[in-house]
Amino acid sequence: MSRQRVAITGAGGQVGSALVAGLASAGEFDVVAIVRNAITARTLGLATANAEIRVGSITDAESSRAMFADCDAVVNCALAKGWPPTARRQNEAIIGNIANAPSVRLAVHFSTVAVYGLCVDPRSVNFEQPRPDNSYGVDKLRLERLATRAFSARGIRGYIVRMGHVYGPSQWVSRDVLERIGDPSFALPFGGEIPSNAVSIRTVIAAVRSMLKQEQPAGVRNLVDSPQTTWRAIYDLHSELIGQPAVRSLSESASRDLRDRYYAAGKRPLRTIARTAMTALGAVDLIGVARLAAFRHVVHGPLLLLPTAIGEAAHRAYVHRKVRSAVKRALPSAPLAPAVLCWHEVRGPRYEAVDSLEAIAAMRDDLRTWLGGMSSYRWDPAAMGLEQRTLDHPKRLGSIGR
Amino acid sequence: MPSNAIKVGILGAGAVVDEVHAPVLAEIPDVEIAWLCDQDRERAVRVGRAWGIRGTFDDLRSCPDVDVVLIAIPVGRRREALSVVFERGWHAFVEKPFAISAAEHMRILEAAGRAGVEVGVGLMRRFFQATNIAHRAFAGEAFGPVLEIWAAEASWLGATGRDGSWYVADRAAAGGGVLMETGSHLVDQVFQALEVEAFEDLRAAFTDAEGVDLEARAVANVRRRGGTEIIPMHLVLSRIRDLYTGVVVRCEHATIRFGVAFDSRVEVLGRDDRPLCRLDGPAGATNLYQAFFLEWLAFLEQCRSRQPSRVDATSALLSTRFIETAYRNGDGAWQA
Repeated sequence: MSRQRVAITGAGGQVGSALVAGLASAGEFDVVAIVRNAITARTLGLATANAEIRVGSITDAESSRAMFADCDAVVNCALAKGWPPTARRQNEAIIGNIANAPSVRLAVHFSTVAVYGLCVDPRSVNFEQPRPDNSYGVDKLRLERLATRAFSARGIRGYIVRMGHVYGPSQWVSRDVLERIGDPSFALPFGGEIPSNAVSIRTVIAAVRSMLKQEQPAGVRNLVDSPQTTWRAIYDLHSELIGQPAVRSLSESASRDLRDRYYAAGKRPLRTIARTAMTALGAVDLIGVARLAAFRHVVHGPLLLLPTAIGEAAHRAYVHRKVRSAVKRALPSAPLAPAVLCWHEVRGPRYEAVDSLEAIAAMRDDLRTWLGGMSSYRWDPAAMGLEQRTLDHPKRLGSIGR
Repeated sequence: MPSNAIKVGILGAGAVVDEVHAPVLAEIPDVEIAWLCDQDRERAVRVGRAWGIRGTFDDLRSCPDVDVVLIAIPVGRRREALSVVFERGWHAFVEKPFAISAAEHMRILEAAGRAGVEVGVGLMRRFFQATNIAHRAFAGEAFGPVLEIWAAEASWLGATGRDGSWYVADRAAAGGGVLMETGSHLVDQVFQALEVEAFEDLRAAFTDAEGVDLEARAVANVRRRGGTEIIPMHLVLSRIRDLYTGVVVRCEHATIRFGVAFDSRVEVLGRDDRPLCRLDGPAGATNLYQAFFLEWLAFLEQCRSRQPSRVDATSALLSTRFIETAYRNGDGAWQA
């Protein structure tokens, strides 16, 4: 029997590229990495030797037929972003094109635990009735329902994966943790002793491998570390690997205050923004700010001029962008905050592929190397293909660079 | 719009125009975007409609007269467009990278001089607050003489959201790879913050694929304006791996770090390279719109006063030379 040919869409992304490398190196599958442009193909090609790379569109029906041709399975890591109506159409097209690929018999579609909301109230949200409180979760929930129907209609064995925040080398959670570890003012809310919805990239790779081998039940399931870990464990892992002391814990009262403010922001975004803005205005040098031409024209000007100066559509897009930016600024912390602040024990059935402690142990060396590269500004010229030079005696500069 | 409004034409309807230049220009008092020209007429119409630009064209020669043109097409495809712009007597604000080589950079400046028009370069990091603060700290030698510079911008390329028409994959259009595209920002930011006026002993190594460098590593000696000390500078740009990203300047009494993002801070590091405190200082842009806004104000003032501004294209000649020399001295194939 020939080996299974597995297409991975969104193969240039953080999770996609790790899956390409992880599945290709195991040698069990013929991996086809699908990317949208030549530069991503070249980047991926340098990192992964054992995968075939195809460049093309998977939102276009004709192109996607060529992309998925001869593939038995598809792992869909692609997610179109941008102007919401356009992105929505593109994401729907991707699912339709996967479902319509003649040779595909199995599909893995990545959804997210954000379908439960960024801050989960376990009394009102459960696996069967997720209630996303953000546009990302709403879109992903709609797409997972669409994928379920499309795969079922075409007799495709479908896995819909509600995936947690992925950490590990090159993953955004690890970038965020690293940044916070380096920030002396950062302290973990609730000491980090609340369940995390995180999942290691090793666990993701193991789970997908297991799905492709049909060792997992099809359908919708969660994918988070099992046993579920805490944010303290994840922060301590990163701190330890770069030889830094563990991050401090935020006091219980300060943690509750932060969490309550976040809940309030989620429930009443406009009021919270207004209140935060008024509080901030009381603390800044208003005259100084008002003197800034950039402030007057870039912040103040558009709000007054946009409705008449340009069309309604542009106004909508602009305000959307500005409000989104304002929301980010008004929140108590950066994007990881909701998960760190809120009880987020992911309930319901899970894909159980590998013990998370084993997965963490297996990626420690890779994670240490990656963290080391990210946290030190010094690099060795000799190791990077440049001869070591003697720089200890001053000399006059020639004319070449003048 | 008043009759004495400055008329601006835009050549290129790509992402930087749609997302930043057009909305920023629309907010500058007494500026009117007269037209948008792109070889993809459909795209020009779509972007033009979004920002209330009435005139859309697919041929620069058929565009009506304006005062200033924004050149926002890839560096490798500008030659003919610039000659049209200068023939028509329009001032040109040119997106980075300004030129592929110092010779081309000079040719453009000379052509502009003959036409009697001003030329600016879009390097918005010059207006970041962090760049301004760092510049003031180094200019005042607040932490003693500069001993060493490390600058890096290295991140796995990841999801780009760009399709097969992305010019960055085409060396002829992009003029190079990551060193040209991203390095033009980073090298300029370092040179501006530290007032670098000369360099030598530049050596570079590249990791490339099909003629496009995906990683560039370079070491050089630089000298600051009015200084005599030789300062080693280390530079990494990468799309194939994650490395520390930012500019670190080791001075005699402290190490200073600043980032490459508009909202980055300037930090003083201790002996263990952990941050001790942050520096506050002169105003500057803390978001992208502000940075583009300020560079446009500077260039429009240059056009009005005929005096060089912070975005005068001459000021980017050294970084053009640096990048060209890195490609020439490096192990990659150089095509000017």
